[in-house]
Amino acid sequence: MIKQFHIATIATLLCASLSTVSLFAQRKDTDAKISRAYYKYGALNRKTIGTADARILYAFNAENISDKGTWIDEGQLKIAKGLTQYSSHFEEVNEDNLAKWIEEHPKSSVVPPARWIQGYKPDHWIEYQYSNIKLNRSVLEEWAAMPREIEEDNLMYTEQFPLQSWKIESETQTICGYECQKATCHWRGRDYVAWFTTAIPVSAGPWKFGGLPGLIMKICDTNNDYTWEAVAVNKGSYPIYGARRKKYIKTTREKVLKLQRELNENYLKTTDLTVIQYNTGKSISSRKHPYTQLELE
Amino acid sequence: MRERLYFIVLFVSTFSWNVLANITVSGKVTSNTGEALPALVTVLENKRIKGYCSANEDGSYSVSFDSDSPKVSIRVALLGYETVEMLVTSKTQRIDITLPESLLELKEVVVVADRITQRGDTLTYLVAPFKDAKDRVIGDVIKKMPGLEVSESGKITFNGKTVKNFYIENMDLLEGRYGIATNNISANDVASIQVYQNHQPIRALQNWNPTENVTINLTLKSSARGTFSLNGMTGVGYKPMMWAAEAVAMCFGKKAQTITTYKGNNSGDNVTAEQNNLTGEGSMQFFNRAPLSVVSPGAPGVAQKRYMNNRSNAISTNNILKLDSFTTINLSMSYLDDILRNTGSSTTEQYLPAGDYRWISQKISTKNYVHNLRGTNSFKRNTSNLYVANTLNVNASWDKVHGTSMTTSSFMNSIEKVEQGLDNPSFTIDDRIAVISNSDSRSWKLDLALGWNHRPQTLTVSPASIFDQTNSEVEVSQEYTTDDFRAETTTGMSYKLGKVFVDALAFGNIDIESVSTKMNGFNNEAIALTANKYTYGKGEAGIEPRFSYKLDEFYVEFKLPMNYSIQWLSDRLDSGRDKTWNYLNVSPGCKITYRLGKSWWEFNTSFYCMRNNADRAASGIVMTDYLSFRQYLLDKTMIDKTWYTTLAYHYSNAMAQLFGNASGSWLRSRQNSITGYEYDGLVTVRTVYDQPYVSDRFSLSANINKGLRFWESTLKLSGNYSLYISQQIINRTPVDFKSRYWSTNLMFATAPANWMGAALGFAYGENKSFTEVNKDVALVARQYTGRLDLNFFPVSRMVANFAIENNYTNLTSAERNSLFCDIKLIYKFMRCDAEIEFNNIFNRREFSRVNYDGMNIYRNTYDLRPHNVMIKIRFNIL
Repeated sequence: MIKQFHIATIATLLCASLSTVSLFAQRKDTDAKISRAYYKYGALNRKTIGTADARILYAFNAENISDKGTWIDEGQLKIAKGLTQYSSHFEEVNEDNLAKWIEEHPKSSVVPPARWIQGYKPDHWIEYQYSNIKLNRSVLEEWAAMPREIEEDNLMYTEQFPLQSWKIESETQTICGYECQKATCHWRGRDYVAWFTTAIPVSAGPWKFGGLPGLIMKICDTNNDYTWEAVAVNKGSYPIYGARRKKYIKTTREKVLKLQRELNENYLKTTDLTVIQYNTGKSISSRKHPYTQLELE
Repeated sequence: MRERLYFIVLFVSTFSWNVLANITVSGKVTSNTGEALPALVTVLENKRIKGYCSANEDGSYSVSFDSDSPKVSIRVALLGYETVEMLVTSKTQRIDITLPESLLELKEVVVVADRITQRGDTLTYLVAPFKDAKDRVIGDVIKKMPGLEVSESGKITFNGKTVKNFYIENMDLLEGRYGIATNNISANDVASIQVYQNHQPIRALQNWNPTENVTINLTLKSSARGTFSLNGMTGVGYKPMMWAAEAVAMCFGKKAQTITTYKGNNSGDNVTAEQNNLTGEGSMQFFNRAPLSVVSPGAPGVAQKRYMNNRSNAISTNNILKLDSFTTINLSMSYLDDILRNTGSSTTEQYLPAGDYRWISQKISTKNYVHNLRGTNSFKRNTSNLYVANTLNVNASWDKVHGTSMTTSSFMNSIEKVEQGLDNPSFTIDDRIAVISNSDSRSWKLDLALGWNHRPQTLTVSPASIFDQTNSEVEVSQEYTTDDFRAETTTGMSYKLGKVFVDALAFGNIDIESVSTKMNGFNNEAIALTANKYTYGKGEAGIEPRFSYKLDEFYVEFKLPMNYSIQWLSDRLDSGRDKTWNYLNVSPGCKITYRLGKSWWEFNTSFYCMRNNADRAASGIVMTDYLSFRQYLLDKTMIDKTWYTTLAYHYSNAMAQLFGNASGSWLRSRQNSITGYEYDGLVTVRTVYDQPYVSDRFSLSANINKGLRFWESTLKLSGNYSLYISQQIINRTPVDFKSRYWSTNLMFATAPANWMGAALGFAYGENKSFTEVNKDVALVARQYTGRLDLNFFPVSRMVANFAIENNYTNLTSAERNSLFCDIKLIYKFMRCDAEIEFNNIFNRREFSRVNYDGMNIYRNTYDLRPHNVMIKIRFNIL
């Protein structure tokens, strides 16, 4: 009875603390953990599908833009001729380091569980960090990698780009050293404000955003649930890696969206997973997390 | 569904262009080699984007737009190719474009290292970019941050606003004594400094009362969280023989925090200043008059370390315990034992209204034995519905001052040695309880405070022969004992009336002061009334309605406190003087703020009327020091009507690292009685005359702080101007005084290379005080202090600091410039820092300063510490 009460208290406190955090931005509230197979496989089997000349780094849902520990992810947009790819830079750094570690410790059967570079809740899964968005001229592909318990069920689908129809406004602002212009749109249930720069003539941006006469340097929805802000513009030679798992099942956007939403909301129920409490021997009842997806329709 | 959506998206985009568009430009984009390019085509009219499109894989594009301008420009761009922009006639046409290939031109930027960032009302200053190897504690770094100003006393202001709370990891460990944090927490342990603007620390009021309070929070590095650290320092020096020792234990956990310090030295370092409450909140303020003092040289205008002759030992402990996420208990105690010696000389020349001239010259040395024990205990429960706080302060001090003065004057034939002794104990206890309770529509509060202060002072002066009317051969003495009891209570409710917030407060205050004074050794027949024994009380009860209204950028607040005041006097020596007074006072006030983006305007005006009989409660004469006496003979209530108006402007732009503020204020005070001085031989008698007068004080100030992007530099500039017009009665003659003061300050800190840093400080002040009579011949006092600090870091373990400082004052006859030079070398090894300081290398032994107040010239000379060497080892034990 007392133990139950304790769990309830902890759960309530946890929910309370999480809900205060999620007041201004969508955080990783999920029980879903990232896929280890994905992580190791990604480090060892990277297939280069192109080489980018430029790379833009974005802070994703940063609570404090100067403290990487408060970001969910550092996204990266790699720009090659006729091809751009949005993926997680944190994950790429971790994979680089893991690949190096495995090379240095060839006899080890285990890999270090800790991450070299971490954002907010580094072990937790969220689709905006673990999906890759590949844009090949007017075809956009989401390569959706799934969390640990269903890591074999990776999905992909394609869409026609651009997806948003923008209204360009006259307001300007300097972001990451670039003079940017404001543009707004309503897209799949949310209103967005984007800041793009014509100084980088690439009609793309973070995640699935693009279609403006310049690169999107900052975008957020009007609820501030989702924000991306450029923190670095680099030129150089950056390999673009293909999707990291062998198997991706081609499906529709709606199906991917539904699965991703359910995983975030109630991971245990969605994956039919039973977790036994170590000290009580009872299973943890599945609970629903507050979660609103980026694409609401 | 998917297809339909695409269709809608495409339809909407084409539709929105087609409806407005009457011009279509199409064509093909190719490279020099004929390769089709998927470039971005943008149509601009007066730099405004009219339309845009992406060329297809075959290079063909078609862009439709709407324009009344005869010409538009078409810009074609692709990463890796030169951008082509051309002016074309606004008509439907076909334009083929060739883009020459070029190297990738992309301005590389990384912005993660922005030194200051802002999110809402919170500013975050990263510590690392402001810090260099010389900065040991966090206070050294805060001084260099644009927007934050640190005064001599350690008080921090943010863009002109005083910091009201200082947190460490969001816990209020120090309750206003934040000098302990800025002087002891290592700069290496702090990740960032957050400034919360408009911060309401009481959660129950967060939706009720908007505040303008500024709170600073230190965010520690994860390595400094939850670990216990113990740091020590020992040092020796010569000459004179000097020692210094320090031990600081700290721990900042999630549930509890502590800082415990011991500091002692005789090397001129002030170890007590950091124990002061810098927010001025927390303990009760007593208005009691403990007027006795020993004539001693005042503080010169140079750094305290150059002249302070001390032997200090200070122990303090500060602890906070978090019982749950809303409840905290604080306990802090400090003990101070200090001997301060001051030596110097002063000459005062006075040109009195009737053409009289007098001067007094003294060579003074004082020895001040300070003992102080202080304890604070507080409990806070801070939830969104209920706030309960109780704070108990106990403060006991037993100081003794001894002074010797070799005095001569225009009416003495010889030099007289005057001994002064002051026994100055004091005991204070006070407790404050605050309760705020919230429901959805209203908030209720109760505030209750009680306090008692006991202060028996005794001043003895010998020989008695320096005074005319004595009957003692040896010494005269003055006893002055006050007991002050205060009770304050406020209760009230806040509620919303439409869009208007209403605070209805009722308050009641009682202040009872018992005073007993006696002057011994004087001839009672020559001087009547050498004693006082009375109780003076003041009771106030009133209401304070306050209305506030917030509309977008505007905030308006209006308050109308009204109180009924009863004052009574019970004189135990002459019951004929017993009396009771009743008054009704109204003090309206109004505040308007307008805040738009980075700018912030604030207008404040208020009126106070104070009727007070406290001064006339004492009818007997009191010797405040051996040169001054005071007596209030006027049987009249003092009425002071004050009207205060201020207009301020604040600008804050974190991204540009630019902060500025400017303010102007006017204070007009109308009083029905006036202070006067009468000079009789050596002594001055301060009294009050029945004459109404008006005084005005105008002041203007401006401040600009800018963080520069090159060399990690910070520039701080400020200027002040004030004009004070008042009146005094000197030897029964009214004299109009005017005093004009202006000053300017500059601070520039920079780090041009990783092996060096520099800081330049310059302060100039000019004061002109005059009376109507001597307007043309009045002296103008000018002074400046310039200081240049050069820091070199030849290797990462070593710091060399060279400081050169000049102090200029124009009124001294000789030695107008005082040049100082100090060198400090630090070598870091293992967990230790070895420091060697060479202080006052030019061996300047005296510092002179001359002040002029319109009628009198004050020449002061202070003895400084001779040149000396100090070696210190700082070590980290845990």
